[in-house]
This record gives sequence, structure tokens and C-alpha cells, in this order.
Amino acid sequence: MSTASELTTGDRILRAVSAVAGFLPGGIVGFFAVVMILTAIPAIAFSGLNFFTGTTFTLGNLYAVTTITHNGVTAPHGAAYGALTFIVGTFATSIFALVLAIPVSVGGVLMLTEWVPRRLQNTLAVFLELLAGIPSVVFGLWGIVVFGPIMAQHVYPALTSIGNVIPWFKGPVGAGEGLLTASLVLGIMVIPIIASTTRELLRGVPVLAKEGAIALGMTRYETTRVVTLPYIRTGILAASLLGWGRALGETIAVLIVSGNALNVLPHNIYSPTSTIASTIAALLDAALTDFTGSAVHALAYLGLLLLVISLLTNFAGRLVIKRVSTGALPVGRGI
Amino acid sequence: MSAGYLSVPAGAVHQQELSTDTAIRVNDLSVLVGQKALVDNVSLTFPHKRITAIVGPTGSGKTTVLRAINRMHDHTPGFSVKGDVTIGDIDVYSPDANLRVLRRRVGMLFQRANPFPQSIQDNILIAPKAHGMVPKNGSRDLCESLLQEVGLWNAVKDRLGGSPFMLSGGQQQLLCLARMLALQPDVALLDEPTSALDPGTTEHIESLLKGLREKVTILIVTHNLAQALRISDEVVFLMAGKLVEHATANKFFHDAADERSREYVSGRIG
Ligand SMILES: Nc1ncnc2c1ncn2[C@@H]1O[C@H](COP(=O)(O)OP(=O)(O)OP(=O)(O)O)[C@@H](O)[C@H]1O
Ligand SMILES: [Mg+2]
Repeated sequence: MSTASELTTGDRILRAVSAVAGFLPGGIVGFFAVVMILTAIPAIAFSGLNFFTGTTFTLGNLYAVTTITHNGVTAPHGAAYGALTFIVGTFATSIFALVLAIPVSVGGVLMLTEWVPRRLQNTLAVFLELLAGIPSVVFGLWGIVVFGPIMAQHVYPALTSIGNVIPWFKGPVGAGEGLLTASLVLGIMVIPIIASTTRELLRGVPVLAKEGAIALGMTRYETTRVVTLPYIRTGILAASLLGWGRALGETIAVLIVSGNALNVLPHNIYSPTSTIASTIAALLDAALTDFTGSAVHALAYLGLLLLVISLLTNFAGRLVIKRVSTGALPVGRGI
Repeated sequence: MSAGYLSVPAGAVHQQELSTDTAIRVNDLSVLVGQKALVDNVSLTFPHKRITAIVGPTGSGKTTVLRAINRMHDHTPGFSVKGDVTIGDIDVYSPDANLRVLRRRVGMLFQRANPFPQSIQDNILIAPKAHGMVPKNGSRDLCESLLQEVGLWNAVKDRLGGSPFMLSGGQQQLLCLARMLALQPDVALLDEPTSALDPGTTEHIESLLKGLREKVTILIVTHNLAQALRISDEVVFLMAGKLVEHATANKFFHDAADERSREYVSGRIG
């Protein structure tokens, strides 16, 4: 241990800088949380539990002079802040997106590394990075102009037959704006995150371990199951949670392709929906014109909820990863 | 002429001539990385149901020869193999060789332990299951008998469902040996199987190998000349990727034909 007197000026500066750098991320999150809570408090008082159970979210009549007061908080006439639609939309689109993106990215990368020559793999990796760099508004535009209509015309009708087994798949399929389209677009946006991590993870699998399986006459598929997947499982979980975070908070693309349902829960997977993030973006303009100021508080409440959900999934993710990765090295469940 | 430990009488069959009962025929084998030959035009035969030790200085190509026999080089980018290898009725490098069958019949133990990231029990059972070789309800017995055979049973019997990575390096190597034996191979390619083991366990493995010789053709790479003398019937001596000498163990250790072999045996090279 060095005593303070042995420290050079450089050491001291470095120490101060690292102290600040270490404190900064936590400080920022804390600051955000406090500001959001303070701003949201009037809305929390106004809506109470209705925020989580109500499906009607309206800022009320912003041009009327009449107001209503509830729990000491004044809001325009007719205002109601029930966020259930958005909560459902947020989880539904993001989880659906993951369900689509995880198998596609992991399976795709596994197939590519096994079957495609290395040169071509690197080219494909460049495309993957390009995909990750496309601005989300472009995804949204493409989703609403090209992808959604094509899916609604040619693919979704075929899916309705699944409706006999899983009722949610029953039509009508709509015009291509809604839950499924939003999930698909989100899924495509999440794929680069999961796929590029999977690629890195695969590089880390010891060759010697795979050779052990190959030398026993096992096929590529068996080798992948027995050796490769156990090695990369935890990493894929981590990447998926990263992807989930991205999907939860994604705003503009979802706003464009979700059909923007305000006050109805989706009744099938093609229904219009909206998420917490997209709703904040959609209503912010109008909320700023609310003379009582209560609409802004309501949106802050939505923001706070999103923050909490993101933090929770993050923590849950860490917990899961910790659980899985303790016990030295991964152990799978046989063939 | 020879170091003291070599005066131990050879435990192997005291044959003076190389066996003519061939299990593996290696013909003009070269293993290349780009233009560089790691193994250079080696021709050899390995005797049926005998133990052949492959010896030579570090980097002389022992592992490379071994890996050529079950076509492991197929999976190493940049490697190419010339020449041919025949094992019984299998033409190893023919385009329509069945690698699954080849590798079921030719087991390999790697220079470093490489257990699967699966439970200890599954490490043994996975390959036989994949090849449809485990009788119904027989998996537990198979597991126990193999672990007994390699002398690992007492150490792991209470944690068969546990991770193999909790075992010591030597124990992991024994597990890999049991895993290899589970397929009942005709040929065993062993790359320094005892380098991580204590003398007692080494002795156990050596007697196991001598017992296996009844059924299995064994190729063993070793740096331990005393071990080669103790267990091998024949010796293949490589230097810089070239075959220097192939002789019976007796002849190699006591009356080698090549000057370099005599120097190697006496510890002056390698
Ligand atoms: N991937 C590779 N690329 C190029 N050269 C290689 C590669 N792997 C091994 N070699 C070279 O091939 C030669 C033979 O290696 P090999 O592993 O067969 O030696 P070995 O006799 O088994 O040595 P050791 O006793 O140390 O295990 C060495 O000179 C080594 O440097
Ligand atoms: Mg070697």
C-alpha cells in the first residue's frame, strides 16, 4: 500500500479523475431517477392505481377552461392517465421481438460459421454492422412503406390458420401496422446486437473442446449441441438482455409502425398497439400545451415507469447471468 | 550406451522382427501448412493389437502424424494432407470414407484434457448415445465400469452429475480416456496420455493399456522413454517431420540402427 505522501501529482490527478469517473454513471442514473420521480409525483397522486389498470390515456380537453381535481391535482376536463395499453404494448412488442431475434441470430450465426467460408463470413459481418448502424427512423419508414404492407398482404393471411390453435393469430390482419409488424421491425433491429455478440462468443469456444467431439465421430450438429452451446449460453443470455433493453426503449420505429393504438388493448397479434416510449414521443407536443401542466407530469410518470422496467430487466439479467455462470464452467444437459 | 533406467527389462513382447500383422498402413504421408511440411513423406505400418510408441523431440511431428490417422487435420484451416492411410478395410483419405464410422472405430486422446462442458456422466455417455451404442437402462453400469477401468470411479462416484472442470487436470485426462473407451474402438491414438499423471496413476494406465492390447491397436505418443520401453512393442522415432527409425522396442532401445536414434535414447538429443 502506498501512503499519501508517496503519491505524485499525477497519481493524485488520476485518483481524482477515476473517483469522478467511477461516481459519474451512478450519479447520472440517480439524478435522472430523482428528477423523474419529482416530475411524476403529481401524476402519481392524480391517477393512483388507475395508471396500471386503466386502458384510457387521454390528456383531456386541452382547449376547455373546465378542469377536474383529484387528490389535489388539477388536470384538464376529461383527462385520464391509464397506461395499461402501453405497458402491454411495450412488453408484447419487445418480448415478441426477442422471440424472433434470438433464434434467428443465434441459429443464423451458427449456420454461417459452420457452412460459409471464412471470407464470406467477414463480408456478412460487415453487413451486420451496417444493419446495426441504420437509424431507427429509417427502419420505421421502411416498415410502414414496404415491409408492413407486404406482410399484411402475403404473409399474415397465412398465419391466421394458426389461429385455430392459438386464438391470438386469428384475423383480421389489418393493413400491416400493429403489434406483429412492430415486433418484427424491432426484432430486425435487435438481431445485429445478438448476432454480433454470438459471433464473438463462438470465437471464444476452445477448438480443442470441439475436436474432442469431432474425434468421437460426432456430427457438426451434435458438436454444436454438446460443446458449443454450453460454452456460449450465458453470453447469449447477456446479449439477449441487451437486445431486450434496446427493444423496450426503442421509440421512433415503433411509433411509425405500431398503428399507435391509444385506448385499446390489442385483441390479436395484428392489432394496433403502442408502447410507453412511442407514446411519450407521440404526446409530448400536445402535453406541453396543457395549461394545467398535468399532462407533462403524466408523461414523466410514463418515463419513470420505463426507467424502472429497464433497470429491473437489467438487474434481473445480471442476476440470471451470475446464477448461470457460477460453478466454474458451463455444464449442459446432455444430448 | 543406455541410461540407467533403460536397463529395466522390457515388459513388452520380446519380438526381434517388426510385426507383419498390419492394422494401419501409412503411405507417403505428408502434412502441409501452405508449402511447409510438418510431416514429410512418412511411410509406416502399425501392427495389429500391439502398442506402438511414437517418440521424438518436441515439435518433431508426433501429434501431427497421430491426427492424420483420424483425419483431424480436415478441421484445421490451412492444413493439407497428402498420401494415404488405410485402417483395416477403411481407406481413410478416400473421398467417400465414412468419417463417423472411422472415428467411432479410431479413438483419440488429446495432448491436453478436453472434457465436454457436460456432466461427468454425460461426458462418457454422450458419444455412445450418439452412435446408438448404449443398451436401454445400461447407461449407469456402462459409466461405472468405464470409470472403474480408468481408476476414476472412487473420485467421482458421488458427483457424476457435476462438472468435469472441477476435476484435476490428470483426472480430466482420465475422464477423456474413459470417454474414448466408451466407443470400444479398434484403434486408440493416445497423445501423451500420462504426462499429467502421478507415477501411481501412470502405472495403472500403463497396465490398463497392456490389457487393452488384447483388443485394441494402440499408438501412444510419449516423451517418457522409460514408459515407451515398459509398454511398447514397437517404436517409431520421428525427427523434424521425418521418420528416422521404426523398430521393435527391444531393438530401438538397445541396438538402434540409426545413430540419431541411439543419441536420442541416450538422452543426447531431444
Ligand atoms: N497450426 C500450425 N501451423 C503451423 N505449424 C504448426 C501448427 N501446428 C503445429 N505446427 C508445427 O508442426 C510441427 C509439429 O508439431 P507437432 O504438434 O506434431 O509436434 P509434436 O511432436 O507433437 O511436439 P510435442 O512433443 O511438443 O507435442 C511443429 O514444428 C509445430 O511448430
Ligand atoms: Mg504433441
